[in-house]
Amino acid sequence: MAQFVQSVANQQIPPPYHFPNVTAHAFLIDVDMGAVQEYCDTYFNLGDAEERGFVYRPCAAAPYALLMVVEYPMMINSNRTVLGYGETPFSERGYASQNEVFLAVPVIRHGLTLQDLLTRAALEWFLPFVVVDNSTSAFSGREILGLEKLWGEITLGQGPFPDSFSVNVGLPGWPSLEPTAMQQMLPFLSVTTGGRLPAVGKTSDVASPWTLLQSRFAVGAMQTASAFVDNLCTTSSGIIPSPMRLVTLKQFRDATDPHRAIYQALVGTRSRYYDVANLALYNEHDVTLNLEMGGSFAEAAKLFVAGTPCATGDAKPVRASVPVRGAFTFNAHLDFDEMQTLHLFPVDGDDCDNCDPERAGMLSPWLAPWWGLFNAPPRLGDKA
Amino acid sequence: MTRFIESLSTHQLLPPYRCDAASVHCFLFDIGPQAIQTYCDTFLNIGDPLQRPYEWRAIPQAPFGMLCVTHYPAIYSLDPETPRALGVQAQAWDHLKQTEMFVAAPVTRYRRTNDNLLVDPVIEWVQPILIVDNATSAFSGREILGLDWLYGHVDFMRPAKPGGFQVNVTLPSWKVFGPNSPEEMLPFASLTRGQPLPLEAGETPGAAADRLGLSAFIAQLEAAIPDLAGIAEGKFPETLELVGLKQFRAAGDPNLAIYQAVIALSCCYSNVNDMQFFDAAEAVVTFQGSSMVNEILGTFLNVPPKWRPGPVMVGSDGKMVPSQLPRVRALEPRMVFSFTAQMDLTAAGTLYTFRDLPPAAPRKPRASR
Repeated sequence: MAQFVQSVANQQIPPPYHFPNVTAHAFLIDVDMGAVQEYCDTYFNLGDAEERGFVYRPCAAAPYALLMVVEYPMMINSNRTVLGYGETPFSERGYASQNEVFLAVPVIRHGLTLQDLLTRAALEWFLPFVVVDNSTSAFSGREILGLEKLWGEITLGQGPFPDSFSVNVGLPGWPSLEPTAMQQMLPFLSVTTGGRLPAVGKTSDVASPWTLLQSRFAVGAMQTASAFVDNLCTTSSGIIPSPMRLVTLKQFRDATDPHRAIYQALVGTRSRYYDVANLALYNEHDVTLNLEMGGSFAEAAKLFVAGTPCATGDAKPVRASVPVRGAFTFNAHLDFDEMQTLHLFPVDGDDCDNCDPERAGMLSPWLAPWWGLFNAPPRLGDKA
Repeated sequence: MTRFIESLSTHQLLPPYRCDAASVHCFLFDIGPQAIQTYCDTFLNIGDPLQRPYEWRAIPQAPFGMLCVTHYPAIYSLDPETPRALGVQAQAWDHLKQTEMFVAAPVTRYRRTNDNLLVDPVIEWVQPILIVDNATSAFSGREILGLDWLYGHVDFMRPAKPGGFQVNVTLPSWKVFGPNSPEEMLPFASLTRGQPLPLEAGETPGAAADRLGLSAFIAQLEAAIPDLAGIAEGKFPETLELVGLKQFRAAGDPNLAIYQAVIALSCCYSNVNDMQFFDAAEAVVTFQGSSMVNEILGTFLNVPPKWRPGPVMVGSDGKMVPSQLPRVRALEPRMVFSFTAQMDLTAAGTLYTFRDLPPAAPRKPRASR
């Protein structure tokens, strides 16, 4: 492969990234398994199954998704690449900050033959949308990792009670499918919680199973478990993985025929939370999660609202209230690393000697260290 | 054909694009052939020169840049497939509003023969700096057309004098490079100009240009770039051919490219109206002093050092000391004009991809300035 032509003026920061002291707010919601399977078939299970050699399916044991709101006070880049004109390397420029809202849905991947069934098995997460309020982050995520990052307005605040939380997300969108509709900044979703448990001014009298964990002992036990899980990956040399592994379809359009793809690949990334602290729970019955489903947002809402028909093209605002099954918040450090191409799909009938150049990328995480022990690390572009 | 898999999360406006009444404000300034040639060699003349089918060169007789602010009150896609897929009958789709600022410079593309001769010169334009205030446009320009569109704010301000013009441009950037320096939305450029030169009854815009002493300069422009002939009569070239490097990083090694291609774009102007000339002496283009702005200016515009913004200083305690020259006059426009037009932008074609060419040798960075 050729060298990427670096430029200071392309507003893109290549990895690796380190995000210290993030504050995360997580909301567990139900997802429609049929919609998840449809998503997998549309974006991951491309082409002929036999040639592909793997399949993505919904995780039957976890029919839920995590809506995450993450505050990044500091995004540090440690890429020391010297740019083309001899400009200051990325790592010496400074840091950035952002807020991010995304939905994460777990899926299972496995091989299709008896031999590959377990060696290619993995639990991964896909993000059907990611909203950030930092354009540099949006460009980098989209163009390097293929993430469906959107730029929007994210307003964080406190709800009506002490220690509560609220977020409002606005996105550029079209209020209707009228041909002349003009793009506007429209409300997309909003979340409001009650206070952290044990809460002052609790709004709901309904007991939550999560309140079982509100005692000091229970929270301490959960924090200990979190710390243990943090270290599990290291102590087991990666054989027992704990981080969240993301998968996404990275694809780009042809300039003259924008419906034709010039590149399609599955890309994997590891996001690892560690040094988890200040874990606290919200009563899920106090959480209000509203989603705007009108106009151009109808499609994006499909995974949110299990079984609720989307009002595609409705000119009037359509709002759905999404039930929340659990809600919690914590502080942690977050690293984004191990970006790799998992599988390269042939484009336009290329015979594509290198359609799977990084075979190790599709290996199960438990097998990866052993593969590395007995094989030279493959590189994208190496001849098979 | 391998189809791109659509998703509303892609948030792209599909070409071709049209805007019925774009207002275009241009500032022509000297940029120097060396800076333009360096840009060509860095972004277009890459790979093995003997196998590359084209060569781009600066035009010695036209060593200028055109800084343009263009406001699109409604730009839309003419791609028929998107509305059809949604069951909507429409010719125009996905209307949005945007304002952009860019710098364009003319270059000549030559075809290289098997005998290593450079023939068939074609004038094209490169755009080293593009800033747009609409994220959907930025995603589309970057990911489909391969233009390095930056996302920023381009705001029309209330001018100091009636009939004047002021635009402020801000970008996410760093005041000063350093591990503890935060990225902020910072001023990048400010453009002002006075009132248009009034025309007597029956006068053409050329008369105003004459009164401004621009006739010789316009003649020089027309000699170097025939497409610009007629600008004094209130015309603008019907078509400007743009060219850019479309490239994407590999996920596993972001210093490598998974795709590199040179894309030609066609920007067509029609129904050109209200051509107006302005006194260049009243026009001021200033740039904010910050590490990143200095770097962009030094890299792409070759602004002479005497005109650069003063450096931002860091005190002994690590805190920033406000510069004595936070904003200086950085560019001296040679010609300032504006007009309105219908604009059509589309990809004319992929000139070639680097897939089958041997990889370029890693470029050595210049010695630090």
